[in-house]
Amino acid sequence: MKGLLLKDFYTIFKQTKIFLILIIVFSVMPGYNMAAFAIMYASFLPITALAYDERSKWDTLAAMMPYSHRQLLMSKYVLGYCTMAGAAVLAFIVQTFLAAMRHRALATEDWMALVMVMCIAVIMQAILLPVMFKVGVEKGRLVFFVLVGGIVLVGTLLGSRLASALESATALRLSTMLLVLLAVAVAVNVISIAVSARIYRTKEV
Amino acid sequence: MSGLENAIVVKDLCKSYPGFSLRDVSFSLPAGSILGLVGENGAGKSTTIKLLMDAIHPDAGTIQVLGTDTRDPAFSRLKEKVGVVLDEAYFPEVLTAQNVEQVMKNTYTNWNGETYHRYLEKFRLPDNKIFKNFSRGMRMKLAIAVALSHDPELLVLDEATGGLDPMVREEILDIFNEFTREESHSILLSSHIVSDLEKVCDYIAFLHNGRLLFCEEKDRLLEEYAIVRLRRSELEALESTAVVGKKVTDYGAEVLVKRGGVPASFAREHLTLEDIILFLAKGEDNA
Repeated sequence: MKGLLLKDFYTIFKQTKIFLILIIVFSVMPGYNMAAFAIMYASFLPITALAYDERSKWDTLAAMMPYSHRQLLMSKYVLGYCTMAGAAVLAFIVQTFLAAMRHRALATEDWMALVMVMCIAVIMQAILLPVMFKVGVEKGRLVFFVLVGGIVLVGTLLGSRLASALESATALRLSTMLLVLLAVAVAVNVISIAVSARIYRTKEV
Repeated sequence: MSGLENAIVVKDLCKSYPGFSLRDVSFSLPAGSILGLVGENGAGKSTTIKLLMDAIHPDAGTIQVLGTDTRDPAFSRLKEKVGVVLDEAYFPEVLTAQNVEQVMKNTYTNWNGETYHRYLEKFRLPDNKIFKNFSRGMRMKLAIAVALSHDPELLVLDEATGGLDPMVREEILDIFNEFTREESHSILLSSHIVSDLEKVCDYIAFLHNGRLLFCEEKDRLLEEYAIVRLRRSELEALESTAVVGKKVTDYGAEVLVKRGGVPASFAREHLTLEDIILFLAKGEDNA
């Protein structure tokens, strides 16, 4: 699978430099809001990589190589996990450094919020990837816009209530929420990978 | 895989799409030989190759490549031993030959960097130029360099010489000939350029409208068939069993015949593979 990941990294690095720079800039900006943007951006990179694969018809060539269907599909999931984790780790290091400059320790809620954003991004990727595998990136983008629209709508409707609930939440309640979110992220990914494997089994290039 | 009798064995292969179907295709590629798969555009050559590599799945029939059934899960690892060149190179356009090497080094366990660089040099391919800026000839040469650099026992080439100028085609056909000097090395070469196949192939399989019309040793085909030119009135003198195909005009007739079935009084002319294929395809279409 390393070969597939390398191919995606080369393509993304050369094709979407501005995108990558934005992710790095957002990751290192003070405060976690921008870091959340960076992680969400990073979760879209596998879809960008898929779009470039479609453009060069890479799938046709990859089907001739010694890769199993599982390796082909997992390479996109792993690419997303790596880029999201990269953005999160970068943000974590920079925010810890900035807190240390102010002679303060990193607040528990802050790193927990970062992990929560990471979970949401991982869930989004898990929902989008099977759709992209099934219908292609062009049509899949429609699903992506519906999903983002839904999240924005829910955020707008419940935003103020959610913000006050988070502010009043104790570290204990936050950690429970985090654990639930982690469990959901893992479950959604397991289901997503199983669905993608089914799609790949019947897919013909 | 050495000691294997056939590099490829295809039996009763069927695959249907709306508007096209491949029907009951059976052939085998003896190890150590080059088999040319010839046919017009849309005859089913690329479909056959995709089926051979398990990129698509057959509706019926079986395929064995290097002794392994292509539906066996172990086949995906066996692809290490199969070098494939498709009608286009299909590498991401921003990759350089150097990047391609890194990707392939981490894809094929038998990757041989020395062989790859030898071919890059032989083909005069730049290391750092991005693929997007390669000419069609350079792209195909890069794909061929990759296919030859992971120690394959079988090369599967789908229209790999199409669209290339004669000089480049000649150079590439020489490399294929060189490849099969090793006894265990075999090639399946699909093309609609019959003259290319005639130059290098030991066997010819002819696909027409999704059906395999023949799969024969090339030399036997050329020995078995001949063309006779005669007046229309003389046509009746020919045994109908000897006639494989004919072109009749107001001025006379050109007939593809089986040599053995034609009386010595008729002057038999030498023919090319292209003649046989054109006559057979025409005969099939008129049938």
